[in-house]
Amino acid sequence: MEIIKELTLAAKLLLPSWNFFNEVSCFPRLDFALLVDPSHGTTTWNELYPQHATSSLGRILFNPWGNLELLEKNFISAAVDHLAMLSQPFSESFPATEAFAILQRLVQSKLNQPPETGSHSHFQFRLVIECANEPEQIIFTSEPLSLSKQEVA
Amino acid sequence: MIEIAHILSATQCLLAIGLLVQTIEVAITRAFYSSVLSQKGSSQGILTVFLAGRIIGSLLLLLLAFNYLPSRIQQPLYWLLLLSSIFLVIRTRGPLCGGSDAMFFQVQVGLLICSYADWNPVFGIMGIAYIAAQSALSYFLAGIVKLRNSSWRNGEAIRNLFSMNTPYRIFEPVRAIAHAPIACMMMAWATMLFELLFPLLFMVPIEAKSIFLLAGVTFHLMNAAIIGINRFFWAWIATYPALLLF
Repeated sequence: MEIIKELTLAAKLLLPSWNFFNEVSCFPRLDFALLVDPSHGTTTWNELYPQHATSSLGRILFNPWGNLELLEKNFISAAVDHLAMLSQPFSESFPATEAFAILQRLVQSKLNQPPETGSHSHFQFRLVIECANEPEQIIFTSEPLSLSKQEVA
Repeated sequence: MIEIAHILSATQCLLAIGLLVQTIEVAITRAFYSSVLSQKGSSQGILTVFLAGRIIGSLLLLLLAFNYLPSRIQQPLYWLLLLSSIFLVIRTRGPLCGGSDAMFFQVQVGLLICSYADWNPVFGIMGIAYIAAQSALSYFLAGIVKLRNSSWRNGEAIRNLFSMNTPYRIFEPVRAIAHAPIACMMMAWATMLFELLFPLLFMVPIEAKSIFLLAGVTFHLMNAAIIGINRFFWAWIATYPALLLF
């Protein structure tokens, strides 16, 4: 199974679709909420990647951190695509996937950077689809997860 | 008449720079791969060694482009770079930056085909034709996909790109265009027309080809400036020397 996945990834290099920017009406978003007590309390959601602009032109030829951010967001898009292939309820099927684990570690890595997360011990994340001229749609919300880094399953 | 040898050298040089940029960018941000893709200790070490090897390979390609190395190293070097591209994609669970990885790969495949010209000179032409075809096809197919999408035809695609929370960090001064529907539509149609008309480059004399290529360089530099996709610039200009032959 793993080898088939890897061959599929390699095949995308050899047989590209050249299908760029075909979807420009809807974009996925990853939100997080820090929790003091995972068992109760209100949840305040924040965007993991708030809308940002830049005035720098230095990235025209060399842009390591911008490309890393693009890669991270590709994993969010890939998770949304993966969800579309799973059976409902997502709360049972999605957490067992590698896509979920990557999102979990992505949020953990961002939250474990300064400034400190204070008294918060847990977090949740959710996947949201934002479409132009439509209300946003929450497609998955995780259970409370520990903020401490976990080993790979 | 442009000589094949010159086209090969230019392609090798541009590809080498593009691969160097990509590999150094990945090397600078490699901590991500251990913290998020969760590749443990020894795997992270392998990644570091691999990236160093890819940088050396790209530098060797640059030396080859300027004839500082014998041509017999071409085939093993191209095979190593191709395999390293596959390894990188697998390691990072998918193309690092989408289309640019795919185009770097296509240029590498084309150069590999060219390297068998000693067996039969037709391979030299075939390799360059492969690169040229992939380049023109990429623009044309991208244009067709956009033309079929009503949000591109009415300019909404540009407005959404500049106003919504997209994967791209937009260049601040252009965000205001999102409030100008006519400007959005003009930008959308300029993009589509450039992409759809690009294959016409094969039907014009070489002096006119340079206009297409200049437009292409401008297009990719603007994309790099506005939405930050600098690797597309490096990947696509590596195909431009090949386009001059046909």
